[in-house]
Amino acid sequence: MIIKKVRLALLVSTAATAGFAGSAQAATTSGTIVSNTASVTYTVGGAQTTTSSNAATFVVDKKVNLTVAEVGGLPTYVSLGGTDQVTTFTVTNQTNSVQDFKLDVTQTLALPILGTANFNVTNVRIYVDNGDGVFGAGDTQVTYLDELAADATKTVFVVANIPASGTPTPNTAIVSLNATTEAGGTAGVEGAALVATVGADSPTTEDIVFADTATANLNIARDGMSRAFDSYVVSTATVSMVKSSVVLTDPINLLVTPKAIPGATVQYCIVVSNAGPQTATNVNVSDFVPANVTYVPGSLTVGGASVLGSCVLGSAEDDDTVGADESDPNGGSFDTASTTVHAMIPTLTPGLPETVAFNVIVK
Amino acid sequence: MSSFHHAVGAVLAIALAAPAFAAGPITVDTKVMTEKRSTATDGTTRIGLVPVTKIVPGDAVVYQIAYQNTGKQPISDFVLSNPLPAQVEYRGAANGSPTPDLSVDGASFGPLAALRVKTATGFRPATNSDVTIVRWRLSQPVAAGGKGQMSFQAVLK
Repeated sequence: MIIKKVRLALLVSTAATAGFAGSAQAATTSGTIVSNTASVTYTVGGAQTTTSSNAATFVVDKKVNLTVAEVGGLPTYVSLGGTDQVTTFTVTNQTNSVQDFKLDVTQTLALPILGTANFNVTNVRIYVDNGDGVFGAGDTQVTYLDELAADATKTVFVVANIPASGTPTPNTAIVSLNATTEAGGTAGVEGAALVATVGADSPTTEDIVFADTATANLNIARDGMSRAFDSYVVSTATVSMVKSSVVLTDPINLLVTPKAIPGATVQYCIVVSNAGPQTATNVNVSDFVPANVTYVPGSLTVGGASVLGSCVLGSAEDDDTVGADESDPNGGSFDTASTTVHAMIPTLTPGLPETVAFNVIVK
Repeated sequence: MSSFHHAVGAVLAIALAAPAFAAGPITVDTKVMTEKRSTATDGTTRIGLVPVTKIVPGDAVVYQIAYQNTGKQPISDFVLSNPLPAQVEYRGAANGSPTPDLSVDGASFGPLAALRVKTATGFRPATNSDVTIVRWRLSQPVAAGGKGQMSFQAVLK
């Protein structure tokens, strides 16, 4: 054994974690025998000769590493009583050999950044994706990933049902998917969990070395496991309306400071807002037109983008009925029998209020 | 008389045809080692080379090739050639070893900066990952009993 005392500055850099110029290539498969033989040519007594050395060999050991990651960066928004609600993960095999990976889901671990869990999802199942990235009929329910190749990734769906009710009212459920590295080699048969080689390592046998690192989301270093978190959030949208009116003209003052006298035209404006957190769809607005005013036919506009609560008129309705000839983007109508204005806003995004406006004449 | 000549001729023929790989005066012994660092009591870092036991992709190794002239005559034109195993990438001469010549194609040898790799559109400078052979040529003869050691660093892919 050669021992040298050196100052660090003189070292030729050989950090064990040095990267490669062509890192795109895969790591050497564990169990590979790496063999080196040198040869010498020389001249002695006028004759040229070649001599070979012995072969210096070692067996490449198994470097176990894996990553489970959540896909999407957002909770899965659900409603009470929903079934087959999906949170999506990927499992990547970063070991230099084919391995199986046991999969299990836990709801007992917390991750503060996802909020406080106040309910559990039910009927939890795990599916491996068939390649289209979306949970569907082609996906297979599994308890482990079979024969995942080195550097390969599989998409995994955690599928569960949402309770219909609960105390407190269900809001957030936190799930985590854990993968445990198991032996590979036989398709269709789940291998046993790997155990790191203890005691003396050997240059002639394939040792097992755990190289997974600790991360913020409760991953412990060198245990051959990886975990990622996701959440289910019961979604809500809070919609509210503010109605205002402005006198547009009157028969005496015309457009100059008009007053609400008989014969005046008044514009009613309803600003519909969504306080979120979810986008509301198919918001139906109804407004009863009182007996002392008369609806002005064709004056209905729907869907204007309100700025700071102001009444910005939307697109004019093509007529006062919703029918097959509807040519404007929103549906609006006036029901003569009930003197009620109806309007439909298809999508109401939080923070983007829309208007429904119409004119009446004071009787 | 002629048969005697024949016999001598035959013996000579056999001697000349002796295989080049017969045990010659030079012995070559190869070892593969890894660095083991430890901190000495005076604060400096000591580096020891120990035989490889545990090794995974990304680890660094040092190959040591020791030669000795066990014969009675000096040997000349000494060339030590080490083709790199496919699973390692060259990283430089080891501390204390002469720097080898490198080759990317087995035909031309030189320092890395002088080597070129053929691409689809022309040539590009060679990098460590292109090196396939390391080679040392001794300009001086190796005396009887003389010995030495070359070594180089590599990383397991």
